[in-house]
Amino acid sequence: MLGTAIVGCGAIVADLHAHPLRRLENLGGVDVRVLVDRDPGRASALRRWFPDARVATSLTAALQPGDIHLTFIATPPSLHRSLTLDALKAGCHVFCEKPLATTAADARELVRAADAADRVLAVAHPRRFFPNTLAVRTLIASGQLGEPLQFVFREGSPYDWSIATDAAFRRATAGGGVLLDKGVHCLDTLDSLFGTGHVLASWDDSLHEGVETNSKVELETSSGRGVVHLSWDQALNNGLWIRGPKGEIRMDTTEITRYQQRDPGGSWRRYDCNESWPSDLTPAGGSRKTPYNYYDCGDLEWINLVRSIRGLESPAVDGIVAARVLHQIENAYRMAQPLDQPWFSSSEQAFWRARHWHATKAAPQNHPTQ
Amino acid sequence: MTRLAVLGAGGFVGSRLLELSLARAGIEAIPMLRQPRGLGRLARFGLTWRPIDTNSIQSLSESLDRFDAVVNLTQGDNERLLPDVQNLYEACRRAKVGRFIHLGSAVVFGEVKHPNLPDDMLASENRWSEYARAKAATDAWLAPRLDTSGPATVIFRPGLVWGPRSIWVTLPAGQMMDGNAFLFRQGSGICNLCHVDRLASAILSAATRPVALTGFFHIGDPGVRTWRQYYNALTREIGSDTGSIHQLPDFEITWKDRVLGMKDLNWVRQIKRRIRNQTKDRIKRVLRNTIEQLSPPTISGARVPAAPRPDRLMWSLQSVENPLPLDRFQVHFPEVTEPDYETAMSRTGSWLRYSGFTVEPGESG
Repeated sequence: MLGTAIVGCGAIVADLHAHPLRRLENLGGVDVRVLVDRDPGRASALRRWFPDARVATSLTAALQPGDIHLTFIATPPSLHRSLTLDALKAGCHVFCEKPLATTAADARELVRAADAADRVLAVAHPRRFFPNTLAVRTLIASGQLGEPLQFVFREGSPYDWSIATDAAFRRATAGGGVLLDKGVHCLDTLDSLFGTGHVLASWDDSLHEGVETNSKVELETSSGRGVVHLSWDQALNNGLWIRGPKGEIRMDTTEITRYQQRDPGGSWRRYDCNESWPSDLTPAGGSRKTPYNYYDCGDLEWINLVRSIRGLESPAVDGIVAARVLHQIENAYRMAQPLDQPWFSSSEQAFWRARHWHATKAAPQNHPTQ
Repeated sequence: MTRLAVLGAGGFVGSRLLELSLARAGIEAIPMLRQPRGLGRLARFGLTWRPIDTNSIQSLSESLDRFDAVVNLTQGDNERLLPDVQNLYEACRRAKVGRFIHLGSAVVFGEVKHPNLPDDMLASENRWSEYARAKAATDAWLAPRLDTSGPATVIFRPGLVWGPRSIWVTLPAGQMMDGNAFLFRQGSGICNLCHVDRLASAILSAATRPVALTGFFHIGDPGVRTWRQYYNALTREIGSDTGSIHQLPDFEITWKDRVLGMKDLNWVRQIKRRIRNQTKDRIKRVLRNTIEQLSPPTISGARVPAAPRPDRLMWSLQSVENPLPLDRFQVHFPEVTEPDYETAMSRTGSWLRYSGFTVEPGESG
C-alpha cells in the first residue's frame, strides 16, 4: 500500500483523479494520507473523497518519514519542478500532471533526480490509453499507409476546464498557453505514432503580456511530416489525419474506440478498436479493460503507475518522453512567429502583428480603427 | 477614455468585443467573469479581469463602481437570464453607471411571421424554446425601465451572429465536410445574419457616443438572403459541392426529439449541474450502449454514412419568413457600416480554411 500525497487540490483532482484513486485504495494499491494545498479550504474540500487524509499547506510539512511513498503533483506547472525535486529527495515516487515542467532543461533535471533516487517518475497523459491511438500505431508500423506520411492534428475548442484560478493563462505560472496545455497531448500522441519529431516552424497569436490562444507548429519526424494546429478560442475541424501513398486515416479524439480509413480516392470506412490494458494489480493474467472515455483512460493510467512502481510494467509516459516533448514545445516557442490571420482587416492584422510577444521593435501606438 | 465593463467577455461575442476595443483608442474594456476559465479565449491579451457574482446586487455594484458603461453578454442557464439582468440593472443604477447595453436576441420572434416588426415590440413568451422564452421575459422586464432615471439602456436584438469562430459557421461547414448538411424547403427561409464585427461595433458605439441612446434595436447585415444563399456561399468558401446538401421537405417532431429536448428543461439542467462530469460521462456511455443494442449492429469496416440529423432548432431557424427591419438601427447607428456582406463572407471563408474546413478537389462529401 503506497502512502500517497496529493499536492495541489484544484478542480482537476476532483474531476479526473479522485475516482481512480479511490478505486486504487479499494484495490490495496494506494492510501491517500495527505492533501496539500496553499489554500487549506481547497484541500479540506477534497476530504469528501478522502475523509481520513490530513490537510497540509506545504509538501515539506506533509512528508513524514516512512509515511508517504507516492506524491501526485497537480499544481500549476511553474511549481512542478521544485515540488518534484522535494518529493524525490524525500524518497517518493512521483506522478506529475502534464506538463512535467515548463522547460525541457527542468524536465531533464527531474529525470536525472529520479534516476539518482531510483524512483519512478511518470507524467499524466491519459491519451496514451486511447484504443484508437494504439490501433493506428500498429497500422502505421505495419506499413499499410506507405511512406512518407503526412499528418495534420487539429484540436480547438473554447477553453472549458473547471479551474480555480487564472494561473493557466499567465506565462509566469503556466509557462505557456494552448501549446503547452493541449499541444503537449498532441505532440505526445505524435511521438508515440511517429517517433521523435523536430520543429520546423511555429506560429502563434500571443501578445507581450499574454499566452497564446492559437498555435500552429510544423514538425518533421523520421517517418512523417505535418502540422499541429491548436486553439483555445475556437472550434477547428478537429482530429488527426494521417495520409500516406497507400491510404489515409482519420481519428477523432472524442471517439476513442474508433478510427476511419480509406484508400486513395475511396470512401471513408469506420473501424472499431478493442485494445485493452491491465485494470487491476494482479501481477499476471489479471483483468483487462478497453477504455471508452477519458475517465476510463485515467483509471487505467493510475493502475499503470502503481504496476510500474511494483515493477510489473513501465509507465506509459516517463520523464524522458515528457522531456522530449517539452523540448519540441520549447523550440516552437523560440521560433514562434506572428500567426497569419487573414480574416482580420489588413490594419487589424498589422496591429496584432506589431504586438506579438516576439516582436522586437517597440509597438507602434496607432490604432487601426481610430 | 470610456471605461467599459464587459460581462460575458469570455464568450464568442464578448471576446471579439474585447479584441476590437483593444485595437481602438479611447476605450478601456475590462472583462468581468464569473469563472476564471472565461479568460481562456482572451489569454493572448494577458488582460486584467475582475470576478463577479451575478447573484449579489451589492457585490455587483461594488464591482461596477466608476464604470461609464456596462455590456451584458452573459448566457449561462436560461433560468438565470432574467434574475441576472435584474441584478445587473439594479447594480448599474446603484453604482451610477451611465449606460447599460444588453444583448437580446431576435430568437424571441421565432419564425418572424410578420413583416415590419417594430424594434420595440415585445414578443410572446409562448415559444417552444426555453432560451427564447427567457430572452422574451428579460425584454419584457427591461422595456418599462427604458424611460426611467436608471442607466440609459440599449437592447440589441441580432439574428444569428456569425463570422470567424461562430458556431453558425462551423456547424454547417462541418456538416458540409461530412456530407450531412441539410436545408428545409430548398432553403427558402430567410437567414437573418448579423456579423459579429457589426454587433461589436454597434455595442462600442452605444457605449462611447457623446449622447446616450435608449431603446430596442434590431441589428443585422443589410440586404435579404435566404438560407440557400448563405449555404451556397459557405460551400463556395470551403470548396464543397452544393449538390451534397440534403434537401428536406419539413420537420416532424418525433419522440426522440421530445426526449432529447428534455435536456434543455430547467429542472433537467438543475439535476445535470449537480452530477459530476465523470458520472455524466458514465450515464452517457450506458445510454449510448443501450441505443447501440437497440439499433442494428455496426460493422467494423463499414462505410461511414452521410446522413443529415435535422433538429427542431434548425427547422425553426430555417423557417423564418421575414427579414428583421433594420431602418431604426441604420438611422441611429449610421457609423456602423462594416463589414459589408461580401467582405465578411470572404474573410469568414479564409478563417474556415485556416481552421481546416476545406474540401480538397474531387473530395466533396
